[in-house]
Amino acid sequence: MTSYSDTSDNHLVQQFIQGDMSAFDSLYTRHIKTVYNRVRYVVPETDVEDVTQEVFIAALSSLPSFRGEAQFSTWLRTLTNHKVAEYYRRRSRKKETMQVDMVHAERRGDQNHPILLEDRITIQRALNKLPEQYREVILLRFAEGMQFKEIADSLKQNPEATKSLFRRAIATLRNTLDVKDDPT
Amino acid sequence: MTLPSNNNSELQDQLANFVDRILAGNPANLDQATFAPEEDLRALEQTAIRVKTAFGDNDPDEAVINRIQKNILGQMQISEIHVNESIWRKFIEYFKPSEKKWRSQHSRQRLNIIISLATVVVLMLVAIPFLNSSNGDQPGASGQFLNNYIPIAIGGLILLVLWLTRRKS
Repeated sequence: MTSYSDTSDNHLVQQFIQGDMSAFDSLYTRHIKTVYNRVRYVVPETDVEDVTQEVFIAALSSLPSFRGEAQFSTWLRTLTNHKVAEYYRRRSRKKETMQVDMVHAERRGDQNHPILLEDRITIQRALNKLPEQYREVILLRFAEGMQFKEIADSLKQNPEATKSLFRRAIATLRNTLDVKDDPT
Repeated sequence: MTLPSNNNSELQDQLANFVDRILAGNPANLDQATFAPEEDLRALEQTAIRVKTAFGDNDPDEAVINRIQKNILGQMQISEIHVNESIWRKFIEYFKPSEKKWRSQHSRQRLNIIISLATVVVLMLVAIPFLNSSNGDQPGASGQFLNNYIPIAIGGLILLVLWLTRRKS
């Protein structure tokens, strides 16, 4: 495989469009952890791999239409959010519940303590109820590990505005978690 | 949680610093994290700790990364095969109607009409030049008679074929 360690994402995309499949492998290697972690924060553990896979399959088929107007990472993040939304639309049709998530996770032999597992599911549901900008700033900091300065650049804000947004997001998350869970 | 704006600014910086510390693994054991004395900030810090504890630092391991990559390539190959198959299937189906189609009364009727009309058109194309060539230099001969009645004969033939087709089906 060609080494693309110093090549920019957008250049890799161009290489891929010209037929170089190893350029896509490099993009995958570069972004898999970020996508996987983002998905892990908002999708039940049992479906994280499937949704992550769907994101990259969608990326593979949509890349020829990528114009490079945004950064590839931003484009991939948007694609991930779409795939997560699509996952929840499918899931709502099946009427799957938190109890189902627990049963699936336990059947799968999840290594986590049941209380931790339940808390993760509770937080996931709370995150999914947050306004999009609040959820986004939490995911960027916790799931993607971006620094506040980087988040500010990404959101085209100053760092103080980003920290303020983050504080409000955490406060809203806390309030959402305090509200008794919907039994469904 | 309504605080004056200067307090808010201080609070958001403190929360951001706290989150930076815990995400950097300090303290290594989150149970030992020290919270701010202020109730508002402490509540937010505890929520941050709760999120961090619930999700941990679980990057996918190499096996998971390779498995997903393999599945992506597998899916792409399947979809390529599927596309190829569907092209061939359409091609074959175009020329080989299914049994269901053959059994359909409507299709059979339509096919009969098409065959009949095609036969008539072929007959016309074959017969007309021949009949025209025989009428030029023989005035009053049978060619003239045929030339006058050909359109009527063909029209009648078409109507007959259509009527027979309808009656059969």
